This record gives sequence, structure tokens and C-alpha cells, in this order.
Amino acid sequence: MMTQKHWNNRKYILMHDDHSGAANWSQSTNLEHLSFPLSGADLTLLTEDAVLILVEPEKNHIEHIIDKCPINPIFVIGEGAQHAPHRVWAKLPSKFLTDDEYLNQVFLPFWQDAILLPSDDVGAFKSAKF
Amino acid sequence: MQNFNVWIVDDNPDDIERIVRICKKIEKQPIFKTFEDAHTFYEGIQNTTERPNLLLLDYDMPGDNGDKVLEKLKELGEESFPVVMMTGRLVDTTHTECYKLGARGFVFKSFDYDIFKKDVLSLFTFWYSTLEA
Repeated sequence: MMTQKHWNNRKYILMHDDHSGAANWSQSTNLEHLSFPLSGADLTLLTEDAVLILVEPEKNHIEHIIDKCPINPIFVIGEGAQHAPHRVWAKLPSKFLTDDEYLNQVFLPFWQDAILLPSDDVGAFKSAKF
Repeated sequence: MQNFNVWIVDDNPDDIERIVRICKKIEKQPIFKTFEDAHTFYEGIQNTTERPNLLLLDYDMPGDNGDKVLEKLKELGEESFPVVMMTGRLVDTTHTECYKLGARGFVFKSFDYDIFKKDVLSLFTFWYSTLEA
């Protein structure tokens, strides 16, 4: 399944196959959802600013996504990161899916405030905020 | 509890000192190793099997810039640790190249100590959390 989150302009795409916790990940936030099987997700829907979070991906899932999303940030929960260490930005702890405190006090402060990422503006960067 | 080994490559000792001082305030103290430029870093990484949990890499340095260091890391097949760039430039198209070369993010070296402190604490808190994964 694929769940889409929006914070300002940046999209977070959670890709999973109903692994424990993943299906309910966004319950505590007011966000849109899109659901697709992980192995059959339509990656043409993604834009360069999307942040991808893959739950327990297999090697072919990562390879497929790398082909379609050459510069998107990719995070992995569970195993699979070792298949493409050059493309997986970080292996996230599983509490990312179930612990709102972790999401709001550890993950988001860094990714929303501290880091500069490609913006919606082609070829340019905005400061700090997604 | 796992050690959190952080290497910093930065020609500005004041910036290194700022980071080290900020990190004294956090519960899990990183173990730092610092390099004053790209070439001492190249020597350092090739003379040990030790690898960091996080590399903070200044973009603007004499000699090889941060993007050249990223290219060198790719040449050496060093992809096992995340590299976060530090920069004084908020808007710069060279950032895109660094992402393509494997950077995991940019942290702005704000002159405002409180802003820089907040960003550095977020940076270390997040990357330390990934050690548990």
C-alpha cells in the first residue's frame, strides 16, 4: 500500500504491504492517502520533491524505485537497505510507524527544519522548510 | 548503548568547536574525529578500517571542495555511512550535484547560534536514532 503525506509542499510516500503499524501510520495526522501495492505502485505519480519511505522492501522493490526516482530521498524500515546503500538515505527505526513522539520530535525537526532539500522550483533550493 | 562516531571535515576550527560545544548538551555524546581538509581526510580514511556513523562535510574548503570529496568517496566505494553537508549558502544549485553524489542533506551554518544549535541538535538526535534501526 502507498500512503501519501503532505507537509507544506513536500510529499511523504509510505510504501508498504500492510506490514504491522504501516497501515495506520498517518492516523494521527490530517493527511491525504493514496494506496497502491508496493510492488505495483505507479511511480510516475511521484515528483522530485517526494520523500519515499519503504517498509520492508525487497531487492526488486528498491531497484524499481531507483530506476524511476533517481534523486528522491529514500528511507527504509526493516530489512532491504543493504540492497542499495548508495541510495537509501537512512534505515529508520520501526517506531517511526507507531510512535508519534518519534515522528514529531526526532524525525520531523531534522527533515523539516534542519535540512535543505530540492524544492518545487526547478534547479533551485528553498531554505529550511519543505 | 552504541557509540555514536561522528567525523567532521571542516577547515574552520571555530565551526568544529561550535558543534562540539553544542553536543556537550545532549545525552548521548558523539565521539568526534576531525579533519582540517579533504586531503587529511583521504589519508585518514585509507589508513584505518574504522568508519563513522555520520560524516559532516563542509562544502567550502581549500583544495577539494565537498563535492570533490563525495566523488572521491564514491571512487573508494565508501557508501556505508551517511554524509551530511554543511554550508553557508542557502541557495546554490551545487546542492543538487551533491545529492546526486550521495549527500544525505545540507545543514545551514547559521551565524545565529540559537538557530545553528537547534539544527545541530536535530541533526544528531535524528542520526543517532537511526543506529537503533
